[in-house]
Amino acid sequence: MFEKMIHHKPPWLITPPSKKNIAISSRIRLARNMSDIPFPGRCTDEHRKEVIIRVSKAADKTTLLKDAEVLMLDSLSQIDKQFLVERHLVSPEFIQQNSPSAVIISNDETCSIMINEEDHIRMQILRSELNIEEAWEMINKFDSELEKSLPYAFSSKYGYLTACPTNVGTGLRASVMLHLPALVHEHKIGSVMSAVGKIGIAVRGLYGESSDSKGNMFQISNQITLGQNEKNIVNQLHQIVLRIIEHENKLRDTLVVNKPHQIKNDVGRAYGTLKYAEILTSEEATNLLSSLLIGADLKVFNEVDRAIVNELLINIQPAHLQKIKGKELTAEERDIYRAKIIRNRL
Amino acid sequence: MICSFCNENEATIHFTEVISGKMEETHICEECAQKKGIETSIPFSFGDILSAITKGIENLGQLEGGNFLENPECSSCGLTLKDFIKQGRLGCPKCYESFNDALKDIIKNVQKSPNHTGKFPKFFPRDEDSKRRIKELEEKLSQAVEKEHYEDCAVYRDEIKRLKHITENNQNV
Repeated sequence: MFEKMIHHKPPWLITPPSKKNIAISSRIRLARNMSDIPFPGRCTDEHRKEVIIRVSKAADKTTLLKDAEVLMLDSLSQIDKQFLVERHLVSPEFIQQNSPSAVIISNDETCSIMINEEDHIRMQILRSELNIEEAWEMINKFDSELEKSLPYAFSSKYGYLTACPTNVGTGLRASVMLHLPALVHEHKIGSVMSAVGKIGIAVRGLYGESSDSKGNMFQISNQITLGQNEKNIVNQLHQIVLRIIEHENKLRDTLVVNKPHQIKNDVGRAYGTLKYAEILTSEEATNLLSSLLIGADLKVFNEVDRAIVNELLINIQPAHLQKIKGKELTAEERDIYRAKIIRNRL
Repeated sequence: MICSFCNENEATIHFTEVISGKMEETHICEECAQKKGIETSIPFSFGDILSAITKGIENLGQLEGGNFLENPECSSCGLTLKDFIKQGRLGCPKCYESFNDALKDIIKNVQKSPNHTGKFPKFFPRDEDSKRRIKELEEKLSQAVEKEHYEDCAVYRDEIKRLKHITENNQNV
């Protein structure tokens, strides 16, 4: 499974090279629990194993996860676990656990289920670009298939019951990953954050070894899960993302007109460093690759295909580097190997 | 990542603040976050939710004259209200019924409205529907008993049992 994944780009990253891709990917996840077993934080290992068996059986009857491999968390190496996090297939919290947990991933990495994270079931659909509505259609169908063989914990008042009251109701978290270099460059990201925050939408930095913001990548997601139906949540987020994209595009246009030399200079220098550096930290590389993306989008720099940049953004992460190399690497060794991979690819 | 305040505990809360247009990242452990009463500029961040939860409970405790000290416990999984406040996580589906009073306040703080308006599982008929169906079936059952149609009786009984089982397992809190 992992061998195949290393050699293939996740399909949600494959986008038409000609397009300006401010929206990189869209994701929807649903939280669900069984009505007859305590939530994972409070159930026994026996219960947790039972949940894994029941959910795996139910998943095998669905269209998306039929015959998919069930990966038991305790059977994975530390690097494999981190690899799945970098791939956005499991959460960082999920791999910290020591009790029986599992993940099921579809062959094309579009659909996955974490079993026994904070809730018994955390299912997700990942799509490329701004496709949350499509992702909702897919996950809704998938959820209805699972529901046929699993008794979900549900109350007519509070909806789907979850371990944390911040997820109760629809159990739905929709998020879109956006590349917003112009908003960051012009110090406008703060006003975007506070504006959308007022209506229950969160903006978070993305990428990297912790949750710090790198490469001007941001994740926009809904925080409200109860009191709005799924379609409204998804539609509202979609509309907000469109507005942010519009804002980013306007700023980019202004930058091209007002600061053409500065932009060309930034992109050119980024390329120079990436092309010739011997040592690159993940943070530096991610930020420089972000500059190449904007160079490609604004057509001020045509040396690099953005598909290659997208691929590098995934492959230069720590666990990916070690999987590609086929062995464990220290932080210093990773920085050298990262620079080498980038040099060879550009 | 280690907490940037105490430099000891693992930081579990990460947030980005924007101060005069410049982004600053903070990594903090729950203990320090509570001590400092951290408030972020991003509404609905984890820190906000955490304090909203605690605030909800404290208000409730005050309202009911320190009832909070009694520390009620979930009849199904044994989680206490104090455990819930500490962890911010409920123990089982039944907890929503056991801590209904406290949860009402919390949900008011973190959600848009206290009523679910989204998807219903197919096996879970809406309340009114299921009650109406049970009533209809019970009438049919008594008619079948009168007419001594015992095969029909069994079918109706099973269906009533199934519907009641579903509504009991999924509480209507």
